[in-house]
Amino acid sequence: MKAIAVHLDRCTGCKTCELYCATERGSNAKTLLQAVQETPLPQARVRVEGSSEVPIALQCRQCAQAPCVDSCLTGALRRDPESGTVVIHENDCIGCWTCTLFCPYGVIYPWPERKIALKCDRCLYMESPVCVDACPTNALELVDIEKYEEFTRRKRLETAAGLQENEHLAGKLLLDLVQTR
Amino acid sequence: METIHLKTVDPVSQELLRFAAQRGIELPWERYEKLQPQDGFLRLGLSCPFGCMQGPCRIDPFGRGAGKGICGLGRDEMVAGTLLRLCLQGAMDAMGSAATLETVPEVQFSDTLGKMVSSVLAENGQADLNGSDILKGASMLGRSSSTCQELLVQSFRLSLLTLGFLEQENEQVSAGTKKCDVGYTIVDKYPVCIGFSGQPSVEFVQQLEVESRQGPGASVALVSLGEWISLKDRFMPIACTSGESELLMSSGAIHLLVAGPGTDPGLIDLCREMKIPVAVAADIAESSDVVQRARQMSSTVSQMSLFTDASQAGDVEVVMSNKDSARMFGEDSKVKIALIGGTDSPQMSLGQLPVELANGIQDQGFRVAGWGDTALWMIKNGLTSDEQKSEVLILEDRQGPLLAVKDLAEKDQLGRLQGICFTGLKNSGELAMALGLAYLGCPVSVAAPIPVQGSQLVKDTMAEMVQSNGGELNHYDHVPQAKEILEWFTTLSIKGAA
Repeated sequence: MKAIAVHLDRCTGCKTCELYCATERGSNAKTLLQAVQETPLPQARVRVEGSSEVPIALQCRQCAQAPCVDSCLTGALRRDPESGTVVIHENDCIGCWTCTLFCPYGVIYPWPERKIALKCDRCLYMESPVCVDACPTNALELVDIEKYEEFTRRKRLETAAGLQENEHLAGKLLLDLVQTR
Repeated sequence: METIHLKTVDPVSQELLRFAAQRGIELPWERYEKLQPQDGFLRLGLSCPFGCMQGPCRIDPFGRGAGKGICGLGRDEMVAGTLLRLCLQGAMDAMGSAATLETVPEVQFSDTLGKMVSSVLAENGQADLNGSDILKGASMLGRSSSTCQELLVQSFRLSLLTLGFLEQENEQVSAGTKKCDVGYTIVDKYPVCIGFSGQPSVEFVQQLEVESRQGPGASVALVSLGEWISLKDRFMPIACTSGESELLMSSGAIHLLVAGPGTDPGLIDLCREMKIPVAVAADIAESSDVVQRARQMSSTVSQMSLFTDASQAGDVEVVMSNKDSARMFGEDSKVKIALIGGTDSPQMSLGQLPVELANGIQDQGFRVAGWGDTALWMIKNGLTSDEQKSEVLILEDRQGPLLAVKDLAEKDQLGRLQGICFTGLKNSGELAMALGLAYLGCPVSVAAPIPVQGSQLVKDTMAEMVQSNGGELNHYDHVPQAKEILEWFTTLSIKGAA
């Protein structure tokens, strides 16, 4: 199973992922210049949240024990057995948006115009997720869950190496942490 | 390389692309692919162009995020402001080298263009144009206090000003034509080639011409890499289109680059990578050194003949001025005229649109004239040869369609103008020219998307303003196929008949 990982240090909050997700997954035309002319306006399945200092692109985490699947009244939310991805079957969705209330990350969105809920399915039927392809800084990366430990280990080592290079900063960070607590 | 046909239709260029790929040379196509997708907000015109430091503000085109800038600027004004910024830059491009000017120059329209402009301005209740319109446009972009309508009016005024400056730039040209040799075969004829990019000073080029004929050693060719460099009585031979300049440079057939103002940085970087000397076209005293270095360079590289399949394009006559009216479109009022021109773009396969369009339009019985890279493609594909049933007319690059429009206006035959199509836009000057011609009442189609899709109001208002003057502005929300543009020409024909 694969998941979309976010490199927080690379995300600039440019929202390119949002634009191209909405275009590719939400529009009929599949091109940005045409998508903005459609009614209803296409909606993105990834949303950039956070402040200007710490922007973060958020999309469905495909939880191993997904509350949205359990809460769905009509069974529209189902796990794809092959990929393990939670997929919304739009024909079965009645737009009750119970799933949006249960989602611990708040990454399932109501789409009132189409009377359905909207969530990331990691572009299951495409070669790779459009947000990953579109991200200009490679802040979004498709990671194999089996290799997730290796991925996070690499991140920890990078952080440690960065702190080693800037010892004075490391001290300050620790101080900040102590003072905050 | 499986997508090579999407990059260019020229078989020799395709061979050069393979050659560059084998050597790991990065060309504009690779850079273009890496840049995809390009900034969506800018493409839509929804990234605020006004000169404030609170932003950058951007409006969410899908309605979930920001609907206004921090100052409260709405999407329509933002898109209109983007257009104004482009037109302002376009007018300044046409004005000449702004860096050397002490004051904003006044525009002097010719009688023909002046009458057309005055009539349009009077019908729209606008004041006469002058150089201060540039300052007004710049000041409007300082603060976001103008309405969408005001911003669009100023955009169109600046686009008319662009036409005036372009015409003024060419006023020294005597009536008649200049010859130009085009095609890859030019570089194959000479053992030493000096390539020119940008617009080097005439004095520097003339000095180099003298130097290239003197001294011992192999004869030296001076060739342009896609630029129309006007010499005294002819154009410098053009080896390739502007879209192919890096491609030709990567072949090793050019032994020194003279980089005039306006040279793309990628071309200079490529020379550095390939260790090809670059001369900045400024110091005339160094011209002998330039020729000598080119000769030295040619002796150190082994020349591969990559151009054996290149077709011999030969000399063509380029129309320099509408003063030579007989050379233009003749007096037969039944023959409709289609103008096609513009610059190469990696968005579409080089050469495809110019050649398909020219052939398709000629099949419908229209007389075709071209300018810019599009004209070079027409020449390369033999559309200007005498053997053609209807020879394509080549217009001077900078004024391009303006020459034809003025000629037709002088003969009171503007009705013969079937349409003007810009196959690609390289800079804001070309966009401003397209808008200016449309505002003057010409049917204009722009094949490259322009950044106004973020506002329906701006699109509608632009169309209304152009239509009220009898013109038409057609542009696309995608990269169009030749078939779509041909349909546009045909639709115009039906409208005209009605």
